Amino acid sequence: MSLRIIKKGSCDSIRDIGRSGYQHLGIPPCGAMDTFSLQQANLLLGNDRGEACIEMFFPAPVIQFEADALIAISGANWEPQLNGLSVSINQPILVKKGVELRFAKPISGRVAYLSVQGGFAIDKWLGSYSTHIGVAFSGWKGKLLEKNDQVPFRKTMHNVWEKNAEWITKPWLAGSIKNPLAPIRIIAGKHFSLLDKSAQTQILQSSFSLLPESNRMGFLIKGIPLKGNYREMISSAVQFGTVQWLPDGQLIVLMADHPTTGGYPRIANVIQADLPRLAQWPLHLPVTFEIISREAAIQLYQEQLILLTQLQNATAFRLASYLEQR
Amino acid sequence: MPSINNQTIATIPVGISSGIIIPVSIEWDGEYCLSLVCSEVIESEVHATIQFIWQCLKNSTIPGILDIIPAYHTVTILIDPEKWNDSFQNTSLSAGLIPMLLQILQTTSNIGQVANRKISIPVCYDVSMAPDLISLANQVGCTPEEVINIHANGTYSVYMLGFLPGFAYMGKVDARIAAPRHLRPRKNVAAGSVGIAAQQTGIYPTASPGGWQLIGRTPIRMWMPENSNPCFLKPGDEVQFYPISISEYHQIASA
Repeated sequence: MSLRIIKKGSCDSIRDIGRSGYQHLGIPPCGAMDTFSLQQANLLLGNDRGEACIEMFFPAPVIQFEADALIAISGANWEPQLNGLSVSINQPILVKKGVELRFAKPISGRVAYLSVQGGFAIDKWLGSYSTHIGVAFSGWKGKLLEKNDQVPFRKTMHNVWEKNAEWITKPWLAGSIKNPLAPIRIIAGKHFSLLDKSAQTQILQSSFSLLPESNRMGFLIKGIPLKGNYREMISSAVQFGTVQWLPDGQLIVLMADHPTTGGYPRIANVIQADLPRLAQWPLHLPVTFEIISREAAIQLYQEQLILLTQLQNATAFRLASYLEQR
Repeated sequence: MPSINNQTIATIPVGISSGIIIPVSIEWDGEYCLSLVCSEVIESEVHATIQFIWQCLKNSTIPGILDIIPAYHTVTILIDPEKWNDSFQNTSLSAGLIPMLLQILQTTSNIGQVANRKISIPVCYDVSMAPDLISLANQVGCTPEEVINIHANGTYSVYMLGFLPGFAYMGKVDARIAAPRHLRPRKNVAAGSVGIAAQQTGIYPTASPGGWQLIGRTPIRMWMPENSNPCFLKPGDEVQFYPISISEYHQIASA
């Protein structure tokens, strides 16, 4: 009742929507980089939104299912294949014991999520399944997944085979986030006004590159150095999406593994609704920014929540009628 | 230019028992996060005010709060929008939360000072565990013994935890031994190392890279991930250090 890592990927770890309630002790959330896709992967299977998934980056792992399972893959599309045949993302798939999952080539996106119905049988630590690599705790033994790790399922599937197939896709599908490469929307932050007027314009009119050393802690955004009345601040809490202005004039967007506090000027916040798009942003393409109001950002996030609720309701209906037929 | 709409929304005076009134501003920081902000200084009245606000908010029952994070001059509140919506379908966060915060601060203001925990932490200042003690002493023009005495005679407030899980930023360190951090951080600082960075002192909870000047080591575990309270220190604690010998260090460490 588990899956086995046949070949490890570049950074495979257990994630949920993140750990809260401990940031005052310096313990960061460490949740999924793209929480929208993680929730989608769960909701497609009727799981709780915040159930643990395997987060993957490319090069991705090769995984064998050692028991029958209902699975879904969301987020990046790297042409997933089951026993060599392509399957689509954002769709539930019933897989038979022994089936091998691999990813053929990157097509779009940078981070993918694998969910199994019922979730993985691992323990929460401080209220979350998410791995804290820094202190080597939680998730899968506090570590990235390695070759031969067997990640157990919480639930067993019985007698679900209708025909002699190795896998069966289920006829419901989740949508993808629209316009993945549209400008990343930000809300101007407390220290935005420290930037020179020309630097303020520059943020909105020029394009930036996402540096390859960007990681789960932060995305380094490089452009012509931003000028202004730079000074360091007395440290205070920062969050997923805080855009900090670094001493060399460049920017960093704090991501899921961000430290809990920081002292660089914060000139903006990436809006919650666009953090998943930023997490999926291709390294070779320029990033542009657009400033919107806080109210507009709230509206966009509420719309995203509605999409998830719609998926949840649709799946509950489909799943129930599917199970009834059996 | 775009409008910057997350500047100060309200400022209210908060009184602490010493009779001092500190103005506190409320500022949005993104969609679902706001900060209560005092003037940007590291000083005891501001710290007392922040602690007071933190305690009030911790004991409040505002729905949907994910985290409340005190720092030197700020208390930051993160809200889960879905939980908020579940409780207040008809009131937006902007319209609902600010009056709630103002009410909490106004009704609890002037009630009294927070009783902070007082904690004594043993530190072995032996040079074998204090790689920077002699150079720091030379740098500030004291003897190593004077550095130890000055450090161990201070009482330090935990302003905030950050950098690493369980890493407490404490102050203020006596100006006579307030040496700046190293320009190049060490690759590996042992867990329990006690360091100085300007007027701050701190203890590395786990082994990590770090730039603070190391003047001793404590055998007390600052980081206990297996506990439901994983950190030995928390914001607001008042900490004193007392010197111990190497043999006492090992005794306590192996206990």
